[in-house]
Amino acid sequence: MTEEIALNPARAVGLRRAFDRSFAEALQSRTEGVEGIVACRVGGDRFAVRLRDIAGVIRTANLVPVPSKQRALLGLAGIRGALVPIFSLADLLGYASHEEVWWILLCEQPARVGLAVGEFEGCLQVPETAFRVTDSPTNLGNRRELAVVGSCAYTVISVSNLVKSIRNLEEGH
Amino acid sequence: MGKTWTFRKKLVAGFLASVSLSTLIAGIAVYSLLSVVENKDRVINTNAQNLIEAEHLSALVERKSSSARAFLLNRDDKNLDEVNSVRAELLQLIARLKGDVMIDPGHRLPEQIERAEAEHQAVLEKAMALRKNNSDVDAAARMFNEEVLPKREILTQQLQAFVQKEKGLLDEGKRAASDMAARSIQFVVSMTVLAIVLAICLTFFLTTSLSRQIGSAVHHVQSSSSELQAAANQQASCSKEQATAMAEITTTISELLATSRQIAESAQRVSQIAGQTAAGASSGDQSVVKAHESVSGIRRQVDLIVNHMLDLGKKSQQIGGILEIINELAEQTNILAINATIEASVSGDAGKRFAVVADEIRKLADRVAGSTKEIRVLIDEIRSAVNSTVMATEGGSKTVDLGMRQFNEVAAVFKRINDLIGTTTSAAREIELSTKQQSTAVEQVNSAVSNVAQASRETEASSSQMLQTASQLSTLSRDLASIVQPRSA
Repeated sequence: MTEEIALNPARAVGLRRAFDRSFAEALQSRTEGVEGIVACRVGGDRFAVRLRDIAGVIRTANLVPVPSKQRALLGLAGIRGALVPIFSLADLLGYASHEEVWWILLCEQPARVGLAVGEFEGCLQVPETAFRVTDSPTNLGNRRELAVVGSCAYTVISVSNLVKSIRNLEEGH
Repeated sequence: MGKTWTFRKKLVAGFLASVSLSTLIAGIAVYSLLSVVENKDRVINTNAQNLIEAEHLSALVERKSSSARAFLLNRDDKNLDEVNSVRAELLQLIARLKGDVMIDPGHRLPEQIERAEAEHQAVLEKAMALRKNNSDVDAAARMFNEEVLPKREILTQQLQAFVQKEKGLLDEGKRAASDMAARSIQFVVSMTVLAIVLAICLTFFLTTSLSRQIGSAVHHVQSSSSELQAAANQQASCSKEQATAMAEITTTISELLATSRQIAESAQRVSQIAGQTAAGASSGDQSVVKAHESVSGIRRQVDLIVNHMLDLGKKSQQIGGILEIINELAEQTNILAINATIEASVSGDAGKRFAVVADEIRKLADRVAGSTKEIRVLIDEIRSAVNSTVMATEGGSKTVDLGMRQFNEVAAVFKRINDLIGTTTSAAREIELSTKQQSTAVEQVNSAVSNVAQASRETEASSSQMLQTASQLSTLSRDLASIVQPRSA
């Protein structure tokens, strides 16, 4: 790798050119037909959440466990001046994983909850044409939506269905 | 005595006995012969001479009477002178007879003859004086017949008695000499017979003794010759084997000589090489000193490298710390950019431009994070390399220390080797000298063995000759035994 870097001194030049080109591109061309997603991994599988479905990405805050009959409820955390219940996304998705939680995806609608994930890949701008719907069932529904980025396919999580699932669990269904 | 005496002693004793007996017999014979001769001489010299002189005395008396008668007849003085001269001779003879005749009767007879002659002379002188003075022949003849003739007769009788006496003595001497000779002959014959008897006894004794002794010796010689023949046979066989063995030894010694020469040449080469090795060891000693200095310099350099690498490790750790900060900043920037994008996405059209900026910020944060990951990888590689280098360098330092110790040991060993090479050189020279001496000794041994081989061949020939001689000796001993003891043979 050292040789690769040493043999590729134009990389910095490319970075500068790409950075400069971003100022030259039109704003509309960069925002239309594109949707941002937050990519993560749960139990080794790739999942994604639309940016418009979450209110923020937070590193693990001080998580206070609370007694609950829901195994997915990890506890409460103080985020942006409010107590937010934090649920394990892996438990909600049906993974029997006890992976360590590092990231919390904060959701505002339809309820303020935090979804804890172990591995956060980053934020991706995905064209709308990359989203596909399949008939294979999941824990959250009978249809599955995929965001295909390159050779990788991310299962897009519907936050509303997830909150609905949490409520169903609270109600004992 | 007979058993202890040797053959030579017995022969000498027998010879001496024979010689002694012969000498005794010869002595006795000589003594007897001398006695006989003495008696004969005495008879001849004394009795016969006395008899002759008695006869001569009678003749002188007769001559004197004749001359006296002639004077009486012729009145010639010549006759008178002759009478006187004859009388002088007669008296002289009588005097000699008186001295020679020692026997009493004989001694007295010359005296009586002397007295009768004196009486006769006195009467004769008277008659001759008468004739001379008177010149009468008759008167003178008468007186001669009356006076002179009786005296003459007396004188003649005395002379006859003397002659008879001497004849008796002569006969008596002859008989004594004959008796002596007879006794001597008898004694000599007796001694001769005794000597013959003794010689026969001695011969019988010597023959018996020597035959027994020689027979025993011949028997011993026969058995010894048989043993000698067997021994000669065995010796011939042994000599043949010895000759064969010596030939093999000669061949082996020749090979040994060749090998010894090769060893000597090799030892010489070894000595030369040892000398060259000693010279090389001396130069190698200097090289060891230089190498020791070089190794010490390497050790110092390795220590310096270790210190530098440790510093490099510390610096890389510091870089890692700074990179952690950068990474944290990039991550936080990324989070902020994501949250900004989220905020911008809910802000409508006004937030779209901010969302673009936030996205660029997020991309930068992603690139920074990627770069920090690469840097981290590089730093990890550097740290790993530094650690490996430090460990390797420390290992190298330890190895250098070990090498130093080993090098010191090598130097000591090399010094010892140098000393040993000196010793080896001396030993090689001694070996060279010894091998040369050994080669010379082997050559001498080879020569000696060749001589021994020649001697063995000669011994083999001698053994064959001895075997033949032993066979001949055995045959001779049998022949000799048959000669000495026909029965036993």
